[in-house]
Amino acid sequence: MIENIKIQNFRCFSELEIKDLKRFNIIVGENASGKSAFLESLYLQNVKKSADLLQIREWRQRGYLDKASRESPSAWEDLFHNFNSGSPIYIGIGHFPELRIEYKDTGKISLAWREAEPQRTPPSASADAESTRWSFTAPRLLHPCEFIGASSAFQYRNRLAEKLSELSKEGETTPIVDALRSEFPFLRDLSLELDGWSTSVFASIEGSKRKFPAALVSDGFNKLLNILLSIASVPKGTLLVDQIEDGFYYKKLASIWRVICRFAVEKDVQIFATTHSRECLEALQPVIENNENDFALLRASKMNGASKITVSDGRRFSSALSQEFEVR
Amino acid sequence: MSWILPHKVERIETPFVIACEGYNDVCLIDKLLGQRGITNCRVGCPSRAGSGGDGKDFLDRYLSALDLVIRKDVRNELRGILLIVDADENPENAFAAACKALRFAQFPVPPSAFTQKEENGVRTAVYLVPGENETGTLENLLLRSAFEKAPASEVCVQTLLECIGRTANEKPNTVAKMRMSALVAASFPSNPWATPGMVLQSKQNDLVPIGSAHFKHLGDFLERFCVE
Repeated sequence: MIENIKIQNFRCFSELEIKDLKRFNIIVGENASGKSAFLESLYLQNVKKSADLLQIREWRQRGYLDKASRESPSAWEDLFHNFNSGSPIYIGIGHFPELRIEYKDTGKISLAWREAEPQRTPPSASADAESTRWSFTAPRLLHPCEFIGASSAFQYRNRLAEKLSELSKEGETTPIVDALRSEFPFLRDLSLELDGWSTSVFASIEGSKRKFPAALVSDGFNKLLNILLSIASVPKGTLLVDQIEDGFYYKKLASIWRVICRFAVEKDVQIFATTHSRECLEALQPVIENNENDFALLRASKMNGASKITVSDGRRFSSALSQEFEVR
Repeated sequence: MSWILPHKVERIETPFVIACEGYNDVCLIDKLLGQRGITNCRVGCPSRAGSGGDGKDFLDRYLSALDLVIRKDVRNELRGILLIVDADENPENAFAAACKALRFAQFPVPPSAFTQKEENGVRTAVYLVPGENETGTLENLLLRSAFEKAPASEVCVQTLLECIGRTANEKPNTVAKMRMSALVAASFPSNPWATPGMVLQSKQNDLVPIGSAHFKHLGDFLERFCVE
């Protein structure tokens, strides 16, 4: 589990070091305060090559880059704080190898890793002296991580089918179906079906002979399916969810939180989720109340052009919700 | 207005915070802060929405929640937290409960009531109403002030209570609340359901004079506590 993170020169973060992360980390803050960028920084633990960074461009709806365009500074400079691609990005996540992202004069983006050391000085102070220790080969064992973006409906279909297929091969789809059925009782079963040129997840629905593509059942159904499949596909890993409340009917939020949390504990998955929704936070309160040690509230804010994140423990988080304080 | 009531609170920027049991206490403290010209302090009380129970039952959660709002910024702006609670029938128990709430929220715990404890730049204290070496509640304090201004009303209220005949088996604190309610109802024809807090905040308040000597001990304590 990730307990701390250090970020330097990435997106809106000039320097950020946060500790005391928990299994469930709820991220709040106004627009442009750095919530999504923080999730992206966590996702970077998963990249193996520069082309993997293109995924982040897609989440931000910045379009596809062909090979030639990838060598233009403008393709990557938004990753660097204040577009300053002259200095490297450093991301150090828990005990995982620290990642350095550098833009080279040759027009290439370069990734390098080095082993994390618990008491090491900040990267900026020691980067030159330790330059020989950086490896340009991705560590063999990366931390499994899944990202569900706020506007990523387009990416769901194939990934959902892939994830369900993997579980199906292991004979482990029943818990997913059962959990979904607890929220959507009309569901009978899930299956993989050819849908045009590709394979999609279909749902058998009570009272209908014909199966429905999961995306057509409802946004909430599809979202929960995606979250549960993502949890199941990254055991002992991390799930990142931007705007977790999107698509869910407000009366279902409390029970959906319970299902997600139970599933995450079973699969030993750590969750980082952003939300703007007061209803979503209120629905979480009964879950936190009984598991305060498993929760942290991360509040993002911007000051003098740089974002920062403050962490509050589950007790304060739960108290603030029960006392109806504004925590967003 | 120095209130920090739930729903509205996003961030606290004053260095001192006072946490009371309920709305009536908040109204009194707010008036005393105004009278003394203390501007570096805000006062509030726990929310009881949907929870039932007494305000003091939620002081621990309220303090813990305050801490989250205060710590919104990296810079810790807090200098002190003062708890104002009723002594009730047993001041020792009231103080112990206040300490438990402070401990729950991980604030420094003072050694005794009416003394300050400072740790890491944050001071705390517990003030037991109506005052030192006394049992009782906020209503006792308010009644003293009101009866001092209109001594005849004390006799009248007592006569009413005796006439109704329901006070014999009640605790003194409950009787004080009954007396206060009767006095307020009889004094505010525009709103016979008014609470002591509403009276204190009303511009027409001539029932409980804030300048009364009975509030001096509390007012002085507030001034001492809020010194930066």
